[in-house]
Amino acid sequence: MVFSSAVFLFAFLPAVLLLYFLPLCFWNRRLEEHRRNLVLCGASLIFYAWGEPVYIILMLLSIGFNFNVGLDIERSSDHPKARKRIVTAAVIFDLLLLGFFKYSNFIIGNINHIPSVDIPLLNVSLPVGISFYTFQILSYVIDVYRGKVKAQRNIVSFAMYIAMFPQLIAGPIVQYADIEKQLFGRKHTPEKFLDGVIVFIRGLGKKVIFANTIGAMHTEILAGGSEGLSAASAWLAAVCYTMQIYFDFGGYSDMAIGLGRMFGFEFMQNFNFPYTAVSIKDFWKRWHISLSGWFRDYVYIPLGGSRRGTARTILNLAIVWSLTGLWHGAAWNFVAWGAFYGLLLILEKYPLAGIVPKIPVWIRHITTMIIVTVGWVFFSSDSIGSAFDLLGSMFLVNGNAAADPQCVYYFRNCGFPLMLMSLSGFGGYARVPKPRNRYLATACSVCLYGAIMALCVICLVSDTYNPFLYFRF
Amino acid sequence: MNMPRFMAILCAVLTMAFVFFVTRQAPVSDKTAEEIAAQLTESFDTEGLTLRSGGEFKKTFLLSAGDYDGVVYYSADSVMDVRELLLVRLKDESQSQELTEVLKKRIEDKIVLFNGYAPEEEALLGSYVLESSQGFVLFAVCSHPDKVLETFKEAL
Repeated sequence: MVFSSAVFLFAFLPAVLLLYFLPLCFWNRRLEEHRRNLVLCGASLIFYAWGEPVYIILMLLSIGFNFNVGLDIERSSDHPKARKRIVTAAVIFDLLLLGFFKYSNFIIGNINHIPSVDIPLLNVSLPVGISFYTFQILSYVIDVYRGKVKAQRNIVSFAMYIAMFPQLIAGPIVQYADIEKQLFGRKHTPEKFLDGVIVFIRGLGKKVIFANTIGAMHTEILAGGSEGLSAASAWLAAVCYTMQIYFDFGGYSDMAIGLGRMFGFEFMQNFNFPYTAVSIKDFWKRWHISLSGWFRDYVYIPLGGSRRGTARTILNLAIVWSLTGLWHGAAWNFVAWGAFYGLLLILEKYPLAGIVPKIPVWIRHITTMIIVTVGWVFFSSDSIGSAFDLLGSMFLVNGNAAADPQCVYYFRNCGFPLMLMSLSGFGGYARVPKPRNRYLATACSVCLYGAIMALCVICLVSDTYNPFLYFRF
Repeated sequence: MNMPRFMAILCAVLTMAFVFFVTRQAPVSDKTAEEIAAQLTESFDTEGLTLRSGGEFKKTFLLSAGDYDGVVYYSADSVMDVRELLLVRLKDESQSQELTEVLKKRIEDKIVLFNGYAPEEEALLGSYVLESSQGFVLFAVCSHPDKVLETFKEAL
């Protein structure tokens, strides 16, 4: 089930909200909290089973395994070696499970390139959201081992943390330490709920109105492949994808945060106007913050971070960014995308460290945007070969024309939507003055978000199925 | 052995059994989309149809051909001819749901389009074939849907 579907918006969400907020155990606050967690946990499992009826079993077993591992680690507090063995076994088991479903056919496919080797591919599909919930599980197990959090003793609360439907499928990756205190005792207020509704509608608008529109244009430009594409059209296609992925994934994250707020949770911000970044490091502080934070806390710092000299820091960055690329998908173009950023960050950190700060901010901003746009070419392409084909057109390497009549048509179609998106993506709307009168401001908000919601519903009714780009990770 | 450890081991064993069960499901055919399509076109009259490129597939279905292991798409040259044949070799089974939803929506939209003034074309659309099996999805709008389906199953 996707958030931007009529079933979710008009049946699932209202039913869950009704069950969640009905004060069925009003006489006992603690009991009421347990009941609400149970409703949210049950609803999350139904949400997941809707699209993955078989893999819900895998998720439940994973929940059962890691819940008990957490308890076992805590029970073995007097035996450091035993604790280390347990956590190591659990991490390996969880990673093997992720690796099996996500990378087995990629590995087999690569082995099959060896002459006379022909291993049949496995008939396994990628369970939706496995990359996200495995990382949440790992954060829990490792933090219990580190003593940062206590093991959860209520399996419903633990299952709710892992399977919580607002962030189950495409994040943000919520670390257990950040949400532990919210599992019980979270606040529900009308203001918080309304704020959640507004953030949700904003996210829905980003996805349905912006991402889907610009995504269709990106598809149209590349419909005939990148062969014969002029440089101007190729750049426009790359810019369209740059906008599409931001509004698609950013929209999903907003919806997740908004839904979480409706149910009383505060999830971390996942995007902070990434396209206003003035360096690659700055970009990654603003893009998919929860994933960068996870790799920092559970891979980069345990490897030694930047404390063990230059050579080791470079190696650590290379490892982290190769893994970041691989996390996004089992294909070489994702590895190339990760390596591309790893290399740029190393360059920024060492040889260019003294030069970059001296460059005027506007030049740094434009350069960063060009680099990010080029990076998305690797990300959006089917293979490294097709990425280089498109890059060849963009940089006039393959002998294609700089511009053609077709690109004028594309610019006419894309110009206005891209301008609107830029205004939103670069934070322009935040600078729009708001009415000082409280009632007028409320009325403006109601009209604006009501209109966005209505427009989204019209688009959803008339559009084809449009899953989120990050679902496949 | 303490209870949590026993339960964790039990869950791990059950997980491995589940993984074994999942991988023992229907096998994936080792044939390519082109091989299957070659057999299909023997029972499917392709006169008046043209083999389309990946780009045209993308334009028609808003799906990228590169996301799949193979795509063979024939559609009619005339806008009044609703016949088409699409064969997709999936990268994994999870792609089947998205693809079949798109194809069902396409049929629904086309039926609305032809409803009332092209009864023969509407009837062809109503008897479409949509089959997902052994890592392939077959979609066909033609005059002999049963024959095409039978050939598809034999070809896998």
